[in-house]
Parts: sequence; C-alpha cells; structure tokens
Amino acid sequence: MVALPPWTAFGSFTSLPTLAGQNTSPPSEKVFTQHFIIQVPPTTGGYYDPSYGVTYTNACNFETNAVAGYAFKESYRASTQNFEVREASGCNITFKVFSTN
Amino acid sequence: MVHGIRFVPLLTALSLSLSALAAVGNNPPLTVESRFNGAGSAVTSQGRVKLELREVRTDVVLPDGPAKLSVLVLFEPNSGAFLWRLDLADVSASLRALQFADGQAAFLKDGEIIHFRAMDGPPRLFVLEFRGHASSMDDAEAQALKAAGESTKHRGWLDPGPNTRVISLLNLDRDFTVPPLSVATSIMPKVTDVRWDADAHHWVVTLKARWTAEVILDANYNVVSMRKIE
Repeated sequence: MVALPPWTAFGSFTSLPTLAGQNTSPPSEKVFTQHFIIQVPPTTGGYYDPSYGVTYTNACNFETNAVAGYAFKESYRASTQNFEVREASGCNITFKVFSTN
Repeated sequence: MVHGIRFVPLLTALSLSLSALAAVGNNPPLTVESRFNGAGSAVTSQGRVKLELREVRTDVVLPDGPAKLSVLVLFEPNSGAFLWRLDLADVSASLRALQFADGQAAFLKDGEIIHFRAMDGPPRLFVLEFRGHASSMDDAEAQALKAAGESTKHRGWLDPGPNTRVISLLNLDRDFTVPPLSVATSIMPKVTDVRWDADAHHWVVTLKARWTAEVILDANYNVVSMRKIE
C-alpha cells in the first residue's frame, strides 16, 4: 500500500477524506483500472466491498456511491500519465462476474 | 474508475487545464526550447524506407499558464512526405521519438505518412494520416510548428483531431492490457507491424500487450476483425 502523501491536491484533483479502506484512512489510491467486490448469495442479495467495508444493492447503487468519474488515458510521460476525466453521471457500469467455483 | 476524488470546479479534465482551454484570439507562438534528431523507418508496400525524426520541445503560454509541448515530426526525404504530432512534453527531450521507435509504426502510402499508435486505459488504436510535403526536415519543422501553434487555439487540442481515427480495442478483451487481478496496472500496447494488403484492400495491424493481436481495418480504418493470434 502506498503511504498517504502529506498533500491532497493532485493536478485538477483533490483527495477527499473519504471512507477508510485498503488499510489506510483515507486511502491514498483512488484511481483504478478495475475494482473487485463480492456478490452476496442471492438469498441475501446485494454486494459487499471488502476494500472499504460497505455494501451496495446493485451496480447503479455502487456507481452512485463510489465512483467520482471515468478516466481515459491520453498521454504517457516518463513519470506521469495524463487522463481525460468525465464526471460520473447516471448508471453506466455493469458488473462482470468471476466465479470461485 | 476514480474513487473519492473531488473535481476542481469547472474542470472535468485532469490533463487539461490544457485541453479545457477557452479559444484564444491570437495564435500562441511555440518557442523552440530544444531539438532531438533521430532516425526511424516507415513501412511501404516495397519494404522499409528511412525516416528522419525530430522532436521539438517547445514553450507556449496558454490562457491558463505556460506549458511545454512536444512536436514530433516524421520526414521521408525521398518523397518529401512528412507528418507531425503534438503532445505534452516530457522532462526528456527525446521521449516522443523514443516512443515512436519502441512501439509505434508509420506507413508511407501514396505520398502520405500514416501513423499507428496504441494506448491503454481503455485499449485504443490511433491512426493519424497526414499529407504534408516539405523540401527538408527544417521545412517540415517550420510547417509543423505553425500548424501545431494553430491547433492549440482550439479547445481540447490534445484530443484526437479530424485526421485521427480512434479505434476501440475492447473487443480484444479487457485482459489484453490489464492483468486479470490488477486494480492499478495496465500495459501500453505496442504496434509491432503494419502492412497494407493491396489485394484484400485492407490494413493488417499487429499489436503486442499481454499477448499478440491482429486487427484488420478496411481502407477507411473501419474494423473488419480483431483477434488474438498468440
């Protein structure tokens, strides 16, 4: 886990004091290519996010509560990457199911 | 996915500050800071030809402040064909030229250079075609700097322009660039080969990321097929 840096501004982004998770508070990493959560058995319903200890009822609920935006990588430099970001709006995410069976 | 981050009001683009520019009335001049000269090659139907490469690192004052931009010029001396591409500058004065040599491709066809590069996050193939003609690399650079300066007048200048086709590679599967259990790592795909099949009238582009894939495009760069080949 990357240690939390002593600043909160990253270019056009500001890291907010959000949920504790990933063994840090607040988490230092907030941009991901993928995120894994657990589908609770159908008799109970919903989804559990072990990274943050919270639950979601469905994909749209996850997107509304956990996603700030969607990033497209635009350019690579030696030590940085540049993204174009669209703020989250509506329900766009669908879950891909990985079975442990 | 961007999780738990507040956007700066009125800016929706992280990179841009630069691309979120308001249009400006005057053409911002690009001031040359340094030049890196290199060599590369372009594919033709008859084999490879030598290309002269020049990366021009420039300073420019944009409405939201000073910026450093890189103009990469590809010049084929026999035909005089050239192509340029504008990007953010790196601390290295030769990064864009090295990126071209390491994982991009150019094809010289009918007096025009067609440039192929790929990007992850999400995986995309960019095809840039440009019908520039110059008497020398210096002439090509002068034309490129003028046009590049003009392009920075427009909002979203770093976005692909009208000469660029952006082709989604998601049908190759997300795992093509993202290791299955990785949440923060992705691999930039490389264009390892390009050829024009004159009989079938289509492009065959070979890409390498976590595996090798082949993308076939028609003459207008529409996807005909894409598949994993090894």
